[in-house]
Amino acid sequence: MNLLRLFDNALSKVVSVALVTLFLLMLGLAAMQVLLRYFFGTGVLWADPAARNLVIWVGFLGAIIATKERQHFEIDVLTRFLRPAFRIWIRRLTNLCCAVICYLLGQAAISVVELDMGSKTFLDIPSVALEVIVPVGFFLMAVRFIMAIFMDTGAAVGASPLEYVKEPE
Amino acid sequence: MVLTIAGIVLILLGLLGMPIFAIVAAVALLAFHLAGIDTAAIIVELFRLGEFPGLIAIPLFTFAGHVLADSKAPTRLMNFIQALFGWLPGGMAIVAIFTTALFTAFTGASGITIIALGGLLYPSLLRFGYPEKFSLGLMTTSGSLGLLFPPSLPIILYALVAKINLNTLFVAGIIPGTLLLVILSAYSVRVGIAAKVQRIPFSFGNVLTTLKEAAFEIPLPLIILGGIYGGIFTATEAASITAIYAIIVEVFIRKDLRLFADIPRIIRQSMVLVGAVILMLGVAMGLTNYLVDQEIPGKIFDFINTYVNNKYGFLLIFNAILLGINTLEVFSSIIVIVPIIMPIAARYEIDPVHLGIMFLMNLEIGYMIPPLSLNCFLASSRFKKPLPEVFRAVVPFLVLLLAALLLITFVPEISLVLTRMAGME
Repeated sequence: MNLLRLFDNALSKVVSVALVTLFLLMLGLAAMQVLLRYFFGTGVLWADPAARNLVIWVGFLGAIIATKERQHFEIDVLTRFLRPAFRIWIRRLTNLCCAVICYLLGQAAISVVELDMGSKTFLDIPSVALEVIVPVGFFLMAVRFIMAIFMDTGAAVGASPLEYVKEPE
Repeated sequence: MVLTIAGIVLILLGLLGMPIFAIVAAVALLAFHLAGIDTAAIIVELFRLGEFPGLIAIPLFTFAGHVLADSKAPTRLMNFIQALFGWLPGGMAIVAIFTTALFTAFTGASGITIIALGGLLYPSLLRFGYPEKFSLGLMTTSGSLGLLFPPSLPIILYALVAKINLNTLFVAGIIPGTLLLVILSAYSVRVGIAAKVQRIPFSFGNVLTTLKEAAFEIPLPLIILGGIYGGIFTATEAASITAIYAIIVEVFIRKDLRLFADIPRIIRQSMVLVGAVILMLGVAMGLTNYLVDQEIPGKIFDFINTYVNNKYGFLLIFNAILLGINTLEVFSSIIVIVPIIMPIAARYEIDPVHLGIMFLMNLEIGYMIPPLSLNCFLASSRFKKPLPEVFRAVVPFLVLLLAALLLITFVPEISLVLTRMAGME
C-alpha cells in the first residue's frame, strides 16, 4: 500500500510540474500575441494553434489531478444521506465504472492518434506529439480510479469534497 | 431495450455520485456502438476542441480570478464598497451582496464563496444587528450571486458551448446581473430599517483611503468590460490581459502573493477546475453533436409543441425543468443541455443571447433551491445550522430571485438592450 501511495505522489508531482510549466507557456504565448498586435500590428502564425493545443494539454493534466482530488463534477447530494461505511462501497463501485470508461476512451483515443501517424502540424511538429496527451490522460485517469478503490477512505469518500476544503484565515 | 436498461443503470450511478463526464462518455460509447459508429468518433470530436478560438479564455480567466480571489483584493474591494454604501440602512448586507458577487465572478460559482467569505461576513451581519434568519439566507444566496459578471466560468463556458460571441454575452449580462444585486439590496434596506441595524457613518476620507488601497483592482472590470464594449480588444485578449495584470498587481505591486510559492499553487488549483470542464466538454461534444444530427431537438420540439405552441409557455416550462436540473449540477448542465435546447429555442424564435442570460440566471437560482442544492449544504455545514433552518432562511431570497427570473424571461430587452446599443448581434 505504501508503494501505491509513493507512486501516486510521484505521479501527481510530475503532472503538477508539467501542468504549471505548460500553463505558463500558454499564458506567455497568449500575452505575446496581444503585445504583438497592439504595438507592432502583427502576430505569429503558429502561436494561436499552439496555445489552443496547450489548452487541451493543460486541461487533461488538470483532469488527472481532478481525478485524484475528486474534483470532477458529480451529483453528490444523495450519497450524503447514506451511512459512511456504505458510501465507501458505492464510491468503489463508481470508481471501478469510471476506470473502465476511461480505459475504453483511452483505447478509442489510441486508434485516432494512430491514424494521424506521420502527419505534421504547425512548425513541423508531428500531430502525434500534440495528440498523445489524450490517450495518456485517459489511461492515467483509469489508473487513478483503480488506485482510488484501494486507497480512498475517510474524508476522501465524504459527501462532498468542498466540505473538506481547508478554511482560509 | 439494452439502451433503456443501460440508461437506468447510468442514471442511478449518476445519482450515486459517479462523475458526470464518465456518465456522458458511457452514453456516447454506447450510443455510437449501437449505431454502428466507431467510438473513435468521440475522440475525433474531442480534438475539435482545439479549433474553438475562444477556448483559451477558460483557463486564462479562471486563473486570473483565482489569483485575485487568493490575494487580499476581495478585502480591499469590500472596504471600498463598505465606505461607499455602509451608511445606508441595510448597508452591511449590501456590502456582503456586492463583495460575494465579485468573489463568485472571480472563482466561478462553485459555492466556494460561502466557505471563503462566510466566516468574515456572517458574523459581521449579526454584529450589526441583522436577524439571524436573514443573514443565513443572504449568505446561502451569495454562493452563486455574480455568476452573470465576467470573468465567471459559467458565462464563458455558456458562450463557448452555445457558440455565442463571448464579448456579446459579457455585455448582455451587465444589466440582468446588476438587477439581481439591486433587488437584493433593496430587500436588505427594508430588513435593515425594520431591524434598526447599526449603520456605519459616512466619511469622505474613508472613501478616499479605501479607494486608494483598491486603486489597482477597481479598474479591472472597466478594463475587461470597457475594452470589450468599446471594441478595443476581444474577450480572449481580455483574458490574457487580465491574467498578466492580476499577476503584476498582486505579486509585484501589492505583494499579497509570492511568485514562486503561490502562483504555481494557484495555477494548479485553478487548472483542476479547468481540467474538469475541458474533459466534460471533450467527451460531451461527440454525444451532443450526435443527438443534434439525429434531430433529437426537433423531436423534443414537436413533442412540446403539441402541448405548448407559444414562446412564453415554452419559456415557463423550460425554466421549470431547468431549475430542477440545475439544482443537481451546474457545469455539466451547461455542457450537455445547452446544445440540445438551442435549436428548440430557435424554433420558438428566442434570441440566443437572451436564452443564455436566462439559462445562467436559472443556474444562479438552481444553486440555492432546497432541498438538494449545494449552497444549502455548504451554508449548513459552514454556519453550523440544521438544514431545515437554512431552507426556511433561503425562501424570501428564492422568491425575489424567481421574480427576477420571470422578469428577465419575459422582458428580453433587459438582456438585449446593451448589446443592441453596442451594435452586437
